[in-house]
Amino acid sequence: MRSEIVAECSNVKKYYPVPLSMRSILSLRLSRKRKLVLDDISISVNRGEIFGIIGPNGAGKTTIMKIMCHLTAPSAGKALVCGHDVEKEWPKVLNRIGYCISEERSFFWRLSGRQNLEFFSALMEVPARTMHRKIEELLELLDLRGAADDRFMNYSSGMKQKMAIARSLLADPEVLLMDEPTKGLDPGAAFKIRTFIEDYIASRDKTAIFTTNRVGDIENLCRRIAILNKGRIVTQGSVADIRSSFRESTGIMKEVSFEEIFNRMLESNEEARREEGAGR
Amino acid sequence: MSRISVFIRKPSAIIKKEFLTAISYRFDFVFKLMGIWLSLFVFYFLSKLINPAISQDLEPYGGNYFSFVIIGTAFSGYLNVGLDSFSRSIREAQLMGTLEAVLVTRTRFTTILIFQAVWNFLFASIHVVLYLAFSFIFFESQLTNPDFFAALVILVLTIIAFSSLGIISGSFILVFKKGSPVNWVISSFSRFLGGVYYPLSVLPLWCQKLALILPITHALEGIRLALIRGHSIAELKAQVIALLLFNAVVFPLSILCFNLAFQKARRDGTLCNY
Repeated sequence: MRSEIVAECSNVKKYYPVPLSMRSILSLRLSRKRKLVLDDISISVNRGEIFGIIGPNGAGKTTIMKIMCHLTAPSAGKALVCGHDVEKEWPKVLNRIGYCISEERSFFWRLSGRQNLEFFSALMEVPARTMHRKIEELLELLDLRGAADDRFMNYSSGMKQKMAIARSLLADPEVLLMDEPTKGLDPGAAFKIRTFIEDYIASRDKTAIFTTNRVGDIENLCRRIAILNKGRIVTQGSVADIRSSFRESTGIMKEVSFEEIFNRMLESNEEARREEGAGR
Repeated sequence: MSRISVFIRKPSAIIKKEFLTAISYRFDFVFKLMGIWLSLFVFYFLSKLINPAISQDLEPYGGNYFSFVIIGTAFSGYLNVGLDSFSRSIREAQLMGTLEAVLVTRTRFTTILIFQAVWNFLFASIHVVLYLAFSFIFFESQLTNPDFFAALVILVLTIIAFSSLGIISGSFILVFKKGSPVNWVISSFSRFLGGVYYPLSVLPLWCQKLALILPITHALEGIRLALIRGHSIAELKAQVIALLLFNAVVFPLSILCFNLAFQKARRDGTLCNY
């Protein structure tokens, strides 16, 4: 049976304008240069799976997420969520996604956790009759009930991340976009969050795209992954497939950790880019 | 969620959030109220000095400088809110990091900005009411036979006019992040030429003519005549038409500017940068 694709990017490119230097402005050289941050990105995510995007800082993970949720426009290519073009049908897309921002400043720090969730529920059009029940359920699931009425500014990093997850689940979205939800957490807290996501997605038939720069986050959590480096996909597939293709291409038969495979792939990608640059 | 429910819940959630945030800064809240008293004292004693000097120019406004300047400063507060509210809300959301979280909800950004402005106008209105009430009860402010309906019509037109300028200012903030020239230019010229502290008749003729392009000139003239002299809406036809014309041109322009700025920031990927 063919899997149903619920989120995809096809041939997405993104250029960011390079800010003009003071010297260019003063000498009236005002033509702006562009920097390529995503180069021909194509991924597709099936219903019910957790798709991982892993890459070092600056690889373009957050830009992909921002394109998927209409915060940034692609320079070329197309992004679709549940069959809707993100650029043309963005209100329908926003009705189907939950964006988990790792940025802890994305909450109102002087309000309590509960007041924050109530505010975002109203903006997300969560029905008033179910809002309080939904908030209580999420606070319970994420073990935040005891601190729900404390000011957000007094929360620990782990609690702030949990609040970000709770907010993204308020409207019961079909597709969860989780941008580094374990960023800055200690291994124990990161493990708890991974376990929560895994259970939540599996038990409710949801779909998630999960970005990270830590191999430990995706190795056991994601059915399929894409390795991203400097705006390009190095490889994509299941962890097992990537492992075996690495063995085939390198001839290394001994047991190698996925972290080492990831690092070696990035190194060879860097080398290939250098050669490509020299050949031009 | 039904349309009615959405219509009620979103604004009340935004206003509640603004209120909770405002009262969490208790000192600032109390300090703003104290500021009313201080400026009343300043203008009261200043009026003792100024009244005889410009009594002829004050004749159309009842001849009392204190009433004149109190209405001028109280209602020019709406100019500050209109000009500032949108750009400040955008800037604060960029700096605080809440902009992304709000933009990915099912609520349009413009709706959020408008209801944040509603809170700011509500707060400014409380300020104006207290200002006028204190000046009337404890000082020698004279509002004989005011026409509140006419004042309200002028006020609504004024809020739309000032907000349109504020939306243009917000568009600058979306693209350039800081340093909107709109706020500086409009606010400086409005204070200088708009008749906040002195009647326009004390200015040279060319300044008086230039002042006519500013909405604050017509807004303050209309509000003063309605509150001090009790002019009806029919008698304030000139001010109403001037504000309507200004709004007919500047309001659509402000929406166009905002949409263009929003799309540019999305294309550049700088929407949430600061």
